[in-house]
Amino acid sequence: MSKAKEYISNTLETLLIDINPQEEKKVICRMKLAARIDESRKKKGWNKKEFAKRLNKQPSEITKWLSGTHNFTCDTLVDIQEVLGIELINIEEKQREQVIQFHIEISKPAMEYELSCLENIEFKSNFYNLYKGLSSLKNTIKVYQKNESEKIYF
Amino acid sequence: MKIRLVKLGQLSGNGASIYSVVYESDKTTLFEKFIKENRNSFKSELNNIILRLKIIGKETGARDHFFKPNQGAPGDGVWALYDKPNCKLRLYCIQYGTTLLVLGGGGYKPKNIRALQEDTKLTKENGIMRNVSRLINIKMSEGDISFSEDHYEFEGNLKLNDQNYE
Repeated sequence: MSKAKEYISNTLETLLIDINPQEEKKVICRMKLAARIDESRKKKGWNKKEFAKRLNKQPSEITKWLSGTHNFTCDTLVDIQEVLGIELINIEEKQREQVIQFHIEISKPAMEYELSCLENIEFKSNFYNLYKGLSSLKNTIKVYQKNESEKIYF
Repeated sequence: MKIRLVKLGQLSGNGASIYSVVYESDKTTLFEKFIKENRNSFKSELNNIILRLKIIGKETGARDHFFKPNQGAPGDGVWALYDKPNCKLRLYCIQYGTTLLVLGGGGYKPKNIRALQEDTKLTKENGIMRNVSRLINIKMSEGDISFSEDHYEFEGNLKLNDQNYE
């Protein structure tokens, strides 16, 4: 089956290039909000009239909201959230995970016999255990920080 | 007069495929004509319409609530994109589910009229889209045009024979 060839319009291109990215973000937000609200309304099994009644609004107001051109106020979004039981505004700041990095440097002049220890398996094993110990200390601190955001325990 | 359905690559995407119509004699789509007619007098409204169509095509799909329904004959799918608040630039289109949209033309709807029939330009543009819808329906009933399996494309012979064209 043949399909339509893609038609590229120069007239359209000149206007698409001109789109302001900030304006685009705003329009995307309005349209996606409208889509989200309409999806949730449908999930509730309400028609526009029923939805309008629950919000104490006229159905024409709902049509305007869902047109994808409406600039919602914060108050309206809060009302809609309540009625539909969904979250449209999230103002809680996400807790960032704090990471503390420990850098320990131990140094002393090397004795001749110690240089040969670098090839020694036991020496390597001891060094590895020391490293593991430090890592586990780091993890303990992380766990405390996650659970009690303001306090840091050592 | 032969007309052809063409897919507008710059607006189509994961949300919907957006088509328009080219009359053989014009070599330009109805939607491009709409742009040319309004880009000087209604630049801001036009930019907003194009932006919304791009978002429909690339992201949201042609969801019912973005359109003013029943602008043509009963059940022919001729709808209009909602105007931006305080603007009256009307664009007619034919909607086939959320994934297929055919753009036509339109024009300024003056504040002093209620029905499109009160404005010659809008009546003409609306009539063109009713006719395109009728021609597509005939081709579909004859099996010459169908929807692709994913419903994102028209398939078949996309040339329509418009005997009403003046």
